[in-house]
Amino acid sequence: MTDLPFDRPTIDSELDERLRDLAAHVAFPPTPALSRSVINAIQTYPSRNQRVQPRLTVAFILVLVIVFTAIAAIPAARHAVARWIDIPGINISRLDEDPPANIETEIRLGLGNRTTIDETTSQAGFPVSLPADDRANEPDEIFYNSSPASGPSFPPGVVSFVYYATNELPAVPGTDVGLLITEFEGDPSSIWANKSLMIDDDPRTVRVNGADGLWLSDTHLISIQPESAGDILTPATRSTGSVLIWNRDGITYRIEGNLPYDAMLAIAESMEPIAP
Amino acid sequence: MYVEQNGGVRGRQLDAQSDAELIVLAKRGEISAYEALVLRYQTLAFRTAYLLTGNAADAEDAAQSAFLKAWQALHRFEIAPGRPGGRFRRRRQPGERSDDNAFRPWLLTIVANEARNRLRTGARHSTVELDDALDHPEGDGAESPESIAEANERREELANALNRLSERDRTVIAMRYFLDLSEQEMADVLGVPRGTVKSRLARALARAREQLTGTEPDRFRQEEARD
Repeated sequence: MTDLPFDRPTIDSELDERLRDLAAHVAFPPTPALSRSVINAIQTYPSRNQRVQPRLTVAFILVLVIVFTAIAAIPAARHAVARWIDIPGINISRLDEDPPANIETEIRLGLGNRTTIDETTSQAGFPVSLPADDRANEPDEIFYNSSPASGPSFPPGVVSFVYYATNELPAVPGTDVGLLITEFEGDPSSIWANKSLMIDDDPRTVRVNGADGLWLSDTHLISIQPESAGDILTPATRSTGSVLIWNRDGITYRIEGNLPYDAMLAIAESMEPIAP
Repeated sequence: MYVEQNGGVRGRQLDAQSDAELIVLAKRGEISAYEALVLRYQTLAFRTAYLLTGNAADAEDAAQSAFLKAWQALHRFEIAPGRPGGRFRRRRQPGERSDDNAFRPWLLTIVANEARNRLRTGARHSTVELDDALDHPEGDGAESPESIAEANERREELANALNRLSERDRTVIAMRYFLDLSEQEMADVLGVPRGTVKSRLARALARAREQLTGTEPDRFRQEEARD
């Protein structure tokens, strides 16, 4: 078969012409006035380079309460606000019902290929970090997942550090893994994983060395994007342990383990770039 | 357009700015500049999401969320040196050309991710029926009623033929012809390499022709199995 670039006439010029004519007569649903809702949300929650300093007056807090109350009264807007808890590269959504019964029970971490610390610092293309915390300063296994086989929407490179369970790092239920650290360049145009929270799960907004983050203490589902990209993704899904995720300087970090919040935060805040 | 909805001198100024200029202003904190970008691309974003989700509510949700995420990440865009008013630089994907790094394909990729995420969790996907989405112009008086009726009939015939295609075929044709997306933009939106977009479109067009004429393009079936 001959592949044709778009800027040349197709073989079937009659069909091409008819499709162009049809395009002029296809009526899409009217475009909603997105700008108003987007700008309202932006003004309510500025971006990180514009976020106001935490010197809120009582009056401003009252205004925010009124705005959130008004937004909560509109179902569509409430949906958008719920999705605003955002860590680049990780989609977080809440399931409206129990998860489907056909979720894989096999633990598939989807971490890519085994590598070494030396190799991963050169492969990654971003400063890779490891905890200085004694509980997790030397990973048992290192993996690197690069995007060519994963499609353009996958992050360019994902580094994972696996620590086997020990007395200090109790195993994530159903695994022999005590700690899993994942790092990649976070960008909203690329998705590494989707997290599905149960209806009652309550993610907690936290700060990790000054960066915004989320603490997910409840077991939830994670779907790593499949290695072969398709139109409708059907990634392998597994349940997780407790997870702390945050983004700092464009790098998204995720730590999964079976430790209380304080211990996970201590490990997270001890992370330092590896010298190349 | 921006002027129609916002009016005023500033609105007209922003409407005349390039994407790059608006991004610079938005990064400096001028929210109205980002609003101008939203107005510029909201129809394309919404329609792209609509083709992927098949319903207007999820499409609106996906497009809105995409604009918010793009705003959050905007500070990481860099204007490519020596190319004022044009392109942006982000970390290139393997195989991606440097001149593809514009706001529009980046935004469309985010829109597609958001749309797919809603499909994954919502399971509310429905198929867009093209014959229901056709307008039927009555003409401006220059054409005879017969020729107008004939043209409308031919459009309905083609729309019905497209409706008989698989969803994947219909989507790739719609993105190319109805949204006028470039090859790279389609690759970004569909999450596949550019070569796959090219071959998918060629096969989809062949099958559309098959639906119109009843011919059977067998040679495409084996090739698709390898895709």
